[in-house]
Amino acid sequence: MAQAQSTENVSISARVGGEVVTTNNTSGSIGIPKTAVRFSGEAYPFATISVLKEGKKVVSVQADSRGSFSVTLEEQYDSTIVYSLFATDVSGNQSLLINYPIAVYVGFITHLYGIRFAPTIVVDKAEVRFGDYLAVYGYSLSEADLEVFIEGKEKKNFTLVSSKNGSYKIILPMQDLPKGEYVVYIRYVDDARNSKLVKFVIGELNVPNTDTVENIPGDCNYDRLINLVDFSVLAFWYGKDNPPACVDTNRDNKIDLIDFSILAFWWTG
Amino acid sequence: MTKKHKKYKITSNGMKKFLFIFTILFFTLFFIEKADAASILVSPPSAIYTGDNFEVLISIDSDGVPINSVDITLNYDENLMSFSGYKSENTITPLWLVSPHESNGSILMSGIIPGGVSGLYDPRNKGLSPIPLVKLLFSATKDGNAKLSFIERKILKNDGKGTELLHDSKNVNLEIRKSITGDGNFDSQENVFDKNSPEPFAITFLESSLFSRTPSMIIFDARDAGSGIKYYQIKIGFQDWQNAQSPQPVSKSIFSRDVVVRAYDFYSNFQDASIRIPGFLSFKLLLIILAVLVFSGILGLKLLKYRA
Repeated sequence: MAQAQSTENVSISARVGGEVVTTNNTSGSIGIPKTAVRFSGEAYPFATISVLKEGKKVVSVQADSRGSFSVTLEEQYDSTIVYSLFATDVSGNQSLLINYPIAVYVGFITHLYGIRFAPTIVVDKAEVRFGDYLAVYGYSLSEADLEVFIEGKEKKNFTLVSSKNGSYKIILPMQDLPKGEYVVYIRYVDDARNSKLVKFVIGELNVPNTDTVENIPGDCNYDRLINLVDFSVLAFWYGKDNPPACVDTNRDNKIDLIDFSILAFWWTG
Repeated sequence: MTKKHKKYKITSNGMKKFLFIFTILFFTLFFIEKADAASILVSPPSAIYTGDNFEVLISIDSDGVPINSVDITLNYDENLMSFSGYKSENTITPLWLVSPHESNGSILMSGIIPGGVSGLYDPRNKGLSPIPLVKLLFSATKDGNAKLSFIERKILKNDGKGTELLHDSKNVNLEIRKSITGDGNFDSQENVFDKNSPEPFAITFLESSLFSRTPSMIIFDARDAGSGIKYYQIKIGFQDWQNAQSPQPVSKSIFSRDVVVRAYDFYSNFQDASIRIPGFLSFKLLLIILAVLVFSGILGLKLLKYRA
């Protein structure tokens, strides 16, 4: 079972005569024209990994049956570049965006390896009737140990193992949890990187997730994207009294830096 | 024997006390270290002389914790140095909510890093390097000991909850020396930092929906590599220029209007962008209405003539 922790490492490599020579010692600089950045790691079986450079999509690659991927981008100048990566599972659900600001050096291949996306997550209900069940599902690496967390008025966690094709599904009983607002998320056991947080309510009725569009904090135009448009709507209400509910991401009746931080967490670009 | 036993007892008590104090000290130091492991760093140049234009890098060592929002107010000595802009080159430029600007001897800035960052991946350094946030530009106007001190600072984790990251910050003393060459007279009019216009930028019109409390507005985000964007001005139709900021509410009128936004950098170089805001009535619709009116008029006249 896959148990590796998502600890990214970066190394600098020099391409000499077609061979890639990895070295951590950069004192002996070799005049090599090739400059590139390479990302490699694990997502989900046959997931699509998209790479954004300074917020603009530049390339996407498909992971193999084990979920492994590798992508190389050619660069030209010495600079600090912010790359963002996200994975889309075979059902079309996206991981959170992960940013990698990298110092790029001309003549070297900078290799960032050990990337590991948290599993994707979807729930079947936006509101669960008190005492009923919530189905949580998505994709991870195949046969991986996973841990689901529920946080709200009370906290609970459950463990499970994903199937061979990376899919997982768990039916969670809501009998012991009081009514109120909750979030659910998933991560690999012993890993710090969480999936998206998904909001749900324990209340009077069962409301399917497909019937609501208000599940992403700050998504005031309900396009399921968090980008500059949503940032601008939030910025308009920054410091103003009585903001609309959709911009007040933490429901404290004011728009401050915390609301922007929550928006930044959910950013899709 | 008794003596020996007594001696042993004393040693044991002493050892216990030592272990107790050591344990408390260890845990106290450990947790203090943990709480203050993250920090905001200010990196000025090593030597500054009067007349110098210099950069001060503001970076954040988040101790590997992903962060996505910052709010910083930095105080500086107005008598010895002047603020002349900011640079984004080789930094992780935040999406500014409040771009770096001066107000009564303080520099205020606030912004978000969408998706968050844990640090800079620099293959030449072991582990994660501090996050380079922004380079503030200053001019040394007078010799003396200047101070850069944090008045307010807030760093929020990228955890979906906006949790504050505990951190420390160190104020920095800058020694501004008299220019050796003797030509250190500061000329505030001289533009040495930035002679280029801001980069071309786009304006997006966000139309308000019928029941939305957020008005129709335009959004824009200009970038300037040399000294940063200082302010914006807007010209709507035939109206005069006025100060603006993104998002800028722009109401729809009967007819479409041209809106020009001008982005100025800290050295008064500017770049224009424009957009046509659609009106409630389009030219086509207006022609149709006119045609209907004319036709009705003619028909009316004919009817009147017929009755007469």
